[in-house]
Amino acid sequence: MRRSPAGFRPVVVAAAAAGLAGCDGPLSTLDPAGPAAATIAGLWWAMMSGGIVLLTIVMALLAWAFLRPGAGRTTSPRVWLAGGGLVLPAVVLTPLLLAGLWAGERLLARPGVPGIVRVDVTARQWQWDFVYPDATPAVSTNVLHIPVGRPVDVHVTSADVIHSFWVPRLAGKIDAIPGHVTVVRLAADRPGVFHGVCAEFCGTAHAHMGFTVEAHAADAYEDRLRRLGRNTR
Amino acid sequence: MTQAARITPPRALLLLVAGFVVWSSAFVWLYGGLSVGCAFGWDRITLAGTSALRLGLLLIWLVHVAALGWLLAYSRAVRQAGRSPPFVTTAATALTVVALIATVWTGLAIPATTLCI
Amino acid sequence: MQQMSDQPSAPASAVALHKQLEAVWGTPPGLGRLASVNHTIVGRRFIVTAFVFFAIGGLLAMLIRTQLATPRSAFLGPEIYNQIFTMHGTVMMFLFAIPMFEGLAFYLLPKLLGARDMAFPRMSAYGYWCYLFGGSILVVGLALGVAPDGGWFMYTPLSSKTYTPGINADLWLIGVTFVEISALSAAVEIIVTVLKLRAPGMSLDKMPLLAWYLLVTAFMMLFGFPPLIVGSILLEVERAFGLPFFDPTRGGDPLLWQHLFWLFGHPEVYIIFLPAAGMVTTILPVFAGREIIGYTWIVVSIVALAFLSFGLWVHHMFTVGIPHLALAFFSSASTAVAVPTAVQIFAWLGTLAAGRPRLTVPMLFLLGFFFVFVAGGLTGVMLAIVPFDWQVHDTHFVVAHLHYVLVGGFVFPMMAAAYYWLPHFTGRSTRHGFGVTVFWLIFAGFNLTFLVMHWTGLVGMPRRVYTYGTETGWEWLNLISSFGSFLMAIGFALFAIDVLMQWRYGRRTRRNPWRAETLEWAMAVPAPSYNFASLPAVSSRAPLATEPQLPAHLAAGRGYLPFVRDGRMETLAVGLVTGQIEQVVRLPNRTLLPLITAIATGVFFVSVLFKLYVPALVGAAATLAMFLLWTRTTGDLQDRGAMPIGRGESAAPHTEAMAPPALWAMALTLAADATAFASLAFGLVFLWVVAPNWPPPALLAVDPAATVVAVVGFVGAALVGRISVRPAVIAVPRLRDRVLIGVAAAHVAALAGLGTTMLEVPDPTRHAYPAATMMVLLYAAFHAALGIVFALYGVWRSRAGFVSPARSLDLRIGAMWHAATAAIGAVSLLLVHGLPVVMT
Ligand code: HEM
Ligand SMILES: [Cu+2]
Ligand SMILES: [Cu+2]
Repeated sequence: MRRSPAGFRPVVVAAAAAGLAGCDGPLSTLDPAGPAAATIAGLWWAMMSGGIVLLTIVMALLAWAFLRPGAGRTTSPRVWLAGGGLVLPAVVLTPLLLAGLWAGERLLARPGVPGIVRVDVTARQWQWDFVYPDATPAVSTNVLHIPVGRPVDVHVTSADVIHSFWVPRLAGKIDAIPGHVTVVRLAADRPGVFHGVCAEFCGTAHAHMGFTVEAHAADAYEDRLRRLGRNTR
Repeated sequence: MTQAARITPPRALLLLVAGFVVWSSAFVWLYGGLSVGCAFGWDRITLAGTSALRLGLLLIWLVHVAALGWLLAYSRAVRQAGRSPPFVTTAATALTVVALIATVWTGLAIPATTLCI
Repeated sequence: MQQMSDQPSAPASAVALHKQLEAVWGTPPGLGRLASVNHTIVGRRFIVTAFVFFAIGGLLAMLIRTQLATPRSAFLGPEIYNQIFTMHGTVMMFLFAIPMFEGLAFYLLPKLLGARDMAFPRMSAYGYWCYLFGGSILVVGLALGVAPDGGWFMYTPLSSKTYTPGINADLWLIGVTFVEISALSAAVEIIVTVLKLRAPGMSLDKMPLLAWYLLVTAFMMLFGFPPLIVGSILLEVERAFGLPFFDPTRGGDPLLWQHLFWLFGHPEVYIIFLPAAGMVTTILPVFAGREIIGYTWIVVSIVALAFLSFGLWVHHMFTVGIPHLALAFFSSASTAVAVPTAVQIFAWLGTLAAGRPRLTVPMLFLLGFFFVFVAGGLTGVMLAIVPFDWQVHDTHFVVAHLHYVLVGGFVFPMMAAAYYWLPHFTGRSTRHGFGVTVFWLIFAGFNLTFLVMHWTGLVGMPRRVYTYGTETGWEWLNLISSFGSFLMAIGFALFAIDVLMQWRYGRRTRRNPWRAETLEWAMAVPAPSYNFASLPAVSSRAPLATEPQLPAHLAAGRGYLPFVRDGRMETLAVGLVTGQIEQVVRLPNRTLLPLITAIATGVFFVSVLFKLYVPALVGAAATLAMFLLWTRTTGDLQDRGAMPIGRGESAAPHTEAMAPPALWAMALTLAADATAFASLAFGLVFLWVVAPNWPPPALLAVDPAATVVAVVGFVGAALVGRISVRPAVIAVPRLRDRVLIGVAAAHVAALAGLGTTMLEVPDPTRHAYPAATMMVLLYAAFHAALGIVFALYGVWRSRAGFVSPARSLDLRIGAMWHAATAAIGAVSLLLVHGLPVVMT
């Protein structure tokens, strides 16, 4: 990330924010490294563009009312109410809702997909314990190992309060709730280290409940799990 | 139907909200039915080519849509017969239409989405 | 002895009339003000107190932003930071937004509707004291460093005893529940006032839109708050007595808390938005110079919005692992609410476009509202899209969104309202210049703070973290947000100064400075204690446009009730739809009872807080006794028949009316009661269906004898209760007393049956099943116990001479309670004995 000394003039600062912030960052949802995060980032860019257009339309109408007083005198109220209040939202919301549901369906942890890897996660104040049922007795704490390119179903629960498992560059979050097991499916496109955080407030060390996800190529992954198993034995 | 009978205050207000009361009922039954159905595994019972749970939910949905259709006809009849002040009957009819659309909208996903995951 | 005259006449001059009215309606200065029940005074108190809490909440926000301005800041530690953000949210939602709207509603409603006060002035005062005391409990906790620290939605198990052993969570549960009493009583009062206490001729379709907004909001409160109250009681019982409703290891479920909280929490945000939208709808047409377009459209929209907003709560729970189809239901309802909101936005836009808008200070704030609220609404629709929410839920994107809608949808309209109604409050005109500076500071500061915060969330910053590292890339974004928030704070400080200056040094204003057309401007400003020297007859939605001379006519006593009858405080009630004159409502005079009752209630809550259950019982009993004392001055000892009300018309006193305000209040209270019971029943069913570690180790065995006794008791109470209101029975004093004693006996039987059943419930601390079963039975038993009080109260009123065939209100209210108790009792027994059969 670039840094530049910016004065405290609002305009400068705002402009700098746009330029500086960028989309990258170890926890950025807008720098996806997996199909789920990429799908959602796509949704965001589409919605953001649409939102800006709609906000501009409303503001333009408002400006028009002030700059050309009385210009709308001849427009029938129905045009405003039915056009702006019913037709416009219907045209915008219908495709949006359908797109959202469709994307949601694709991201679900549906069984029957070949090559799924399973990990069991237990969150507790304030650490993450990972168990690899396919390679028992491998376990790890605060570091999750996954193979690149394969869907990983993360089964999450909690040993105490509610936490939330979130690796922004790979997928959306899922809550870790005591007494329940919840599942999120994620996958990494490329090898690397991805950061995760606890997203649900869980007490004094909530801010420090981070973890990392290490995505390995197939061989390296097997190797890594074997070593983990040896360590626990 | 007693043609001339006027619809008096508390009932007139009920007419105003009746449509959305049906919507609320649809919502509660759909969400409640889905939760109970998933808890009891009704999604795994196959019936007429789809799951029993989905059929049940479709039924709940259609019953409510039909009820709203009837209510719409009724409130229009009340309006035409002038049995309540025009403002109340106009608003009631409009609200019933809106509730009908909202109920259809709420159930749109029933035929398509995954049931219990 | 005072002479009873039923033929009062208007005094000779407007000044004499004013003096007469002021003598009975006015509040004396000094300590006497503690006894005030006048809506203008109580409304002002709510507003000022809410503003003080806003300042406290704002101060906390500044602390938050100072801490987050830089990475690894050492300014606050996590223990303190957690208290601060929790209290910031809690104060803003419960102690600022809701009470601020209540205050404005109390102040404005009677004036808008052409009445002299709210329907139950003593309840307004009681509600105020409950609010003040409950809020003070929370603030004292903060000052002592033991404030709640689990976030404003207090998720269990974090807020359960195991993980929050201290008093922090109890403070939240007790303080907030105490404040909720005022919200519920305000809801009942607002509904009854709007439905009944309107000016003659004001039919439903002639009501000002603000009254519609407040009516709908109040209904939402009536159904929205009970789930939270029930949830809070359950959590407090779990914390204090170990009944495990939310503890998964013993058959409870943390998700039950989330459902109960958000069943309240989502409607809550619309409860905050709707009154503000009502103010926009009131103020905007005045400065657009034309009537609002789409009156009926707006009414239809807000009713639809009210319902739909109850179908959204799970969108706060999209990440708890609920099936996708269920998420789809809530996602579609969440997108659907955008439609009625859009209708309102375009009604406002169309009104502006068709008029000739004036850029005054209130208008400036409305423009700010447009930008900020529409932007917040758009991000709201985005959050309704499930996969997107999976990413940004619980991040600063949500913090940004919620401030766009809350500040945009509430604070900006409130600022507009403040500048608009300030002349009404103070009698002084506002100046233009300073307000513009205030606006730009707040508007720029706000957007600087929260616009970038969307991005902070998108690049991964979770909410409620007290610190972050430099590797995250969040430093600049946070610094900008903090800088903007200080600009905004300066803006609010200047606003406070501006208001104070105008109040102290402003020029006297003329009546109706904005040339508005609604009734609140048909009086002198600041408003006299009785509002209108005589009550208007209304024939249009814009009374002051139709009849510009109206204020003068009313002051001269040419409207209704232009006199004081026997030193009584009177106003008119009308037919709910038609607006035809129906009753003369006699309102209670100033009294210290609301304050004393609130103190008794406070004793109850504070004792529960410190787990002193004997004093708690004393406090509860004292509260009940005080409420019974209130009734000594209500009602009438004689039948009066129709009384003259001026302009050659007459109407019956409310004591002899078919549906007096108190009867409506009872019906509405029972609706809230039924909602609370439904929430509890939902809890029991939810635990059976969803919770882990079920079925329970031991079930409650059916005891046929106890069940039969309870059923007979409940059915008997309802039936005999109905008999007690038969005209033939009421006409015979001895008979009616006996029948009422019979009702009490039936409740005793019900209690005995329930009590025996409760003794047979397995140990309720072992599992959520016996715990929830016990609560359902207790709920029914509580109703039976109060049923005894209602029946005996009837006997007391009857013996004291307040009851006659014409004056049967007290007995009819009792009969409603008995019927409701029977229904709740029957459903309780059915649930308690039926669920085990169905579910195992
Ligand atoms: C005056 C300017 C305000 C500023 C600078 C401000 C700032 C903030 C910030 C930074 C947070 C996030 C805290 C965190 O997650 O760690 C927050 C949370 C919150 N704010 Fe504000 N806020 C302001 C006004 C308001 C108003 C007017 C309301 C409501 C009417 C409000 C309601 C809330 C709520 C409900 C939360 C969530 C608290 C929680 O997470 O438990 N805020 N605010
Ligand atoms: Cu955590
Ligand atoms: Cu956490």
